[in-house]
Amino acid sequence: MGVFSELGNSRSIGSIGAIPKSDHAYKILQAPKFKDMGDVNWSTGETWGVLISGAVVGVATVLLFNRYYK
Amino acid sequence: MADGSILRVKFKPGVAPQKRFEGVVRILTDLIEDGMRDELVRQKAVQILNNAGVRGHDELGEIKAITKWVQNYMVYRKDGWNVEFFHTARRLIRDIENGTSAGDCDDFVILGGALLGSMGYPVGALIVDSNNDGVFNHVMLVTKTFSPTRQFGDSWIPIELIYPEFKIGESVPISDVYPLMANVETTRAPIMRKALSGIGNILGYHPVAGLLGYKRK
Repeated sequence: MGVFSELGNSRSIGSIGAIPKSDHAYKILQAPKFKDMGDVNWSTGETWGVLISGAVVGVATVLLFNRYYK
Repeated sequence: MADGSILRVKFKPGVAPQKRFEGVVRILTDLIEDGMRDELVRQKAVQILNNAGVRGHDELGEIKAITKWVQNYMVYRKDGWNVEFFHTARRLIRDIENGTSAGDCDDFVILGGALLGSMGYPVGALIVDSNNDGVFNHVMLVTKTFSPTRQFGDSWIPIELIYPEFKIGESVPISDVYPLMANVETTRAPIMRKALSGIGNILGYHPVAGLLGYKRK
């Protein structure tokens, strides 16, 4: 079996009876820290890497353009 | 995207559970992202919604219709012992149409996420701890509507796909969640093509899956 294989505490549920339902996941997702899921995460190194790299390339492009075409 | 692709991840002995987990969830969201950009997947989503009679702009109706379709038509089968199989959304749709559907919870999330994502909804994999033992052992889908609804407001909605009797918002009892959102704007190559370019090709492995002992079928 794979990583996600032990659903619903089968040790206590077994094969008899209905799968217990809850709203636990929904309630947990109401926490403020999940409010911005999917938005840009500015704290990652990847984000800053792209931004700083873009800035460096942009400045270099302007400098080279000014040097050779003015 | 290659039709009928399957990733088979076989874990090397001694790979830490956390390392396995991180590798697996990354592949999972990559496959959702690939599926939501696949024209065939979008066509299937439109067909499902039209067959269900969902009106335009009925966001909750669209989410419910696609959830019901996945719950009712995809068949839950466990992965092989110590092996993790991942199917593309396109493959999962083809298997359903051919009557050979089989997949575990991560495949359900790939299909549901790709179908909803192709219709414009933000989607992600919601990894959960359902045994209250500190181990993430199950994955659900998570999505939201753009307009607030009476039932859910503008909250994220967890969706349990492997049980047809579960409505959206319901889950098994869980103690912790680990959300990983799919990013439709990703510019990376589709995961099934990664073995054909870059380091992945040299090694014969997907860069992430290689850590796990991934072999392409």
